[in-house]
Amino acid sequence: MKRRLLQIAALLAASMAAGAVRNAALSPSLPWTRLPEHPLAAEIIEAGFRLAAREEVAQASEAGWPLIFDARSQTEYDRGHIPGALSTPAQELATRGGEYAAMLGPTDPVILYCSHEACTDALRVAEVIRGDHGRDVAIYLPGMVGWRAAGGPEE
Amino acid sequence: MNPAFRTTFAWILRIGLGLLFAVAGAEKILDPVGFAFAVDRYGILPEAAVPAVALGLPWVEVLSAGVLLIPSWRQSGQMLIAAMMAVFVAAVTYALVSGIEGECGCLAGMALSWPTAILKALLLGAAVWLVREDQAP
Repeated sequence: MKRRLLQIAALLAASMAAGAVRNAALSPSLPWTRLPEHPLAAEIIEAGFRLAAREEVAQASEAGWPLIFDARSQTEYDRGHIPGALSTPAQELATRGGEYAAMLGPTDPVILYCSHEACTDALRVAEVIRGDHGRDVAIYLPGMVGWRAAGGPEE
Repeated sequence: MNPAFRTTFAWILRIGLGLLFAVAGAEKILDPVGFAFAVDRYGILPEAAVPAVALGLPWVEVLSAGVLLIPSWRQSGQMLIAAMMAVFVAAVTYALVSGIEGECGCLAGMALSWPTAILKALLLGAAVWLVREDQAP
């Protein structure tokens, strides 16, 4: 048994060493004690939108303004969403995109979110509702997973 | 069970599990950042621990698979694979019960779903059987 434990310890140590070598070869390297900004964040900024902070979403949820759009499927929305958010599924953009845009005045700001930091549904809906009048469109990147993880209320 | 069949069956399971872990590990080694975000999505580990797990765990998978081919190390590899599968089953079940969605960070973009949890539970069963098989006198 002692030999097994030593072998397992050796495998774990070798794995961490190999991981460190792999990380050194990455450009940029992955920070050891925190997550880097998600690659999608850069894409959102590049598309002309901005990132919404959790506090901003919480305020909008309480005040009912700006409107919050939930870009996940209707089923996911029904299972639980940020209080006050409206369901605008990205899956139905082709048929209901105009309807989503019509929920807003020409310059009304809006906050969007989807499931998690890697989903692109919020970005897809944002592209459709951006309009031609410089609307302030913010995306809450952590999405419903991040909202729940931070202990945010839902309805 | 016929001993010859039992030995053959064990090797089929061993090779299958080994290949699965080698491919899954290699995929994560190629994209450690993506895997880090997948691990973080479970909300189980503190953020400070996520990068170390994302960098080290894929190599544990690959090395555990590799040592299955070395007779004197095989049982250690099988034990590690069984332990990892137990953690994966628990994590996926926790995510499903908590309503966490998205990719599971397992293999080839598999989604967090009950079929994924069941598949993992079956693989855990196979790994535990192999450990017991090699412990048999």
